[in-house]
Amino acid sequence: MSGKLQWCRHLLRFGVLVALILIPLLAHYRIAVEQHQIERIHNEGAANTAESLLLVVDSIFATSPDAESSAVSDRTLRANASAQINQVQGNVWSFSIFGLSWTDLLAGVESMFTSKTILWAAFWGMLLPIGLTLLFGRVFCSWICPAGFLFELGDAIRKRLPKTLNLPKRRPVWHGHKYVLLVVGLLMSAVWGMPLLGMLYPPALLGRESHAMLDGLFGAAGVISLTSVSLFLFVLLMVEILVSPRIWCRSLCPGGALYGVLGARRVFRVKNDFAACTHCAACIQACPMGLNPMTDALGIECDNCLACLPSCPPSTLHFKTGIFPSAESTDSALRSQKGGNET
Amino acid sequence: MKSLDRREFIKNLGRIGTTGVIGTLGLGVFAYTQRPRSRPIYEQMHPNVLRPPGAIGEQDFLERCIRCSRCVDSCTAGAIKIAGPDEPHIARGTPFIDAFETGCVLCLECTKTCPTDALEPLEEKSEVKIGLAVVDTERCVSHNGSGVCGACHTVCPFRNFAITQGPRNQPTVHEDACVGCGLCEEACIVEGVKAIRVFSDRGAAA
Repeated sequence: MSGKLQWCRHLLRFGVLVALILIPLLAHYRIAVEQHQIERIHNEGAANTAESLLLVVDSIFATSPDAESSAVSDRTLRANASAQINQVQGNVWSFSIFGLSWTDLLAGVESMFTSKTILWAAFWGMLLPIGLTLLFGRVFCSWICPAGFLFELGDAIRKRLPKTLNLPKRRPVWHGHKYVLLVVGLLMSAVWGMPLLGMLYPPALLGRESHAMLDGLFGAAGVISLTSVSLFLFVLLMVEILVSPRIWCRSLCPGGALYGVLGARRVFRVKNDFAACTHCAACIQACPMGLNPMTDALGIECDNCLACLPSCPPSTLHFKTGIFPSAESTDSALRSQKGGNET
Repeated sequence: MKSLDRREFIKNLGRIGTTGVIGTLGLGVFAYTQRPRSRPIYEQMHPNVLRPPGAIGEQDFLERCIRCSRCVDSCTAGAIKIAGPDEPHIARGTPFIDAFETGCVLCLECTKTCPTDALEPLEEKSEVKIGLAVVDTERCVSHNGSGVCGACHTVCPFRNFAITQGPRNQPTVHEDACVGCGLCEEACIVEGVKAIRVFSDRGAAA
């Protein structure tokens, strides 16, 4: 069951990645509809790649089921499509989908730091991620973040690389760097008056870059243009694959730090049944964040990806709910097992 | 055990210090590279920055805007663009309107979707104040006598209020009614630098 859950997780994040490309494309289609360009393209045929892409989208939205009777005209279908497309805007940094608004915690908090005011509009957008994080912890990182998906893909690629490459072994990197980066970044953003962390936060960058790519394609140049952001993301992915797997999510991501702190007292968390545990440490191998689910000392780093559950042969790991997770059991577990979360 | 804890504590202090110093310096350098820079050739055509409708004061705008591009997705005209490497005089990632290419049709969708109220929600088209259209009487064909045009007057959403015409279609812009949508600049038939352009009070390199 849990194995299927992992596929759901990968599929969801892959879907988010695809949506990052689809949303700007649909926005361009909507502009073509609203500016009555699509009829011209439809009649004259596509002149370049961008227009042929628009025609593909158009063939999905504006094909009357009964073209003969033409009870519904293409015009109406396109107008309906335009209204539907307008329901989905933005990227994971901040999006609205059918009236539901989501603003990334880092985005909202950082803009409050840079503007030095309480932005209620941003706060309302943050309610949904705040609620999710209070219940499930860093669940954004493991279930939504498209950059996390890429990095996990990088980790999988690394494991399949030939042994002859002699890649450096996975070395423990202190998890606390990201909290320092978060604090320093927020203060520096306030000093400079620009959202610096937002310019380095991979999920935000992915959304912005896919937007820039499509804007380049639909612009005067007509070609997909890459900016320095792509270079940064590529270098980061290469570092993850060749040097230190998952170093960004574990040790450097300021957004993950924020989600982690907020989800410290999360209601749903992974627990180990110590009485039946065989101490095989399979879960430690499975944990993509390099934590130790065996000791229960997951702390605020665990992103509830649940990769440890199917790895546990005696199935002593389970998903536990509790309004106030008992601190003593974790402490005593720490004392008896003597293990840190520093891997 | 006690000494181990203490050693760990000192070690962590060292890590915090190292990351703190490297992070501060790194972000400082990064912020310096991301600042808007002036580019004279571009500024000749676009002397200053036009922001989408409802945009608050430039400094506050730069601080509040999270660069999420929701306003771009909501724009029905394709007028809102995101500043990239080609627009070094505009803060990277922020939305702007290039009236030379496309003017704003005042649908006001962007003001409703902004998650941080960097674009304040507007109900009426007349509340918009992107900038002010200014006619260059030497370049305008109706003004300098080389022709009779009237394109800007025709496309103006506040026709006969924001732009009125003389007997030979010479346009006159009225400051109190003009919202600075830039449709006139888009429509202007003059080659190169247009004869009617929208100016805002937002500096090119604020």
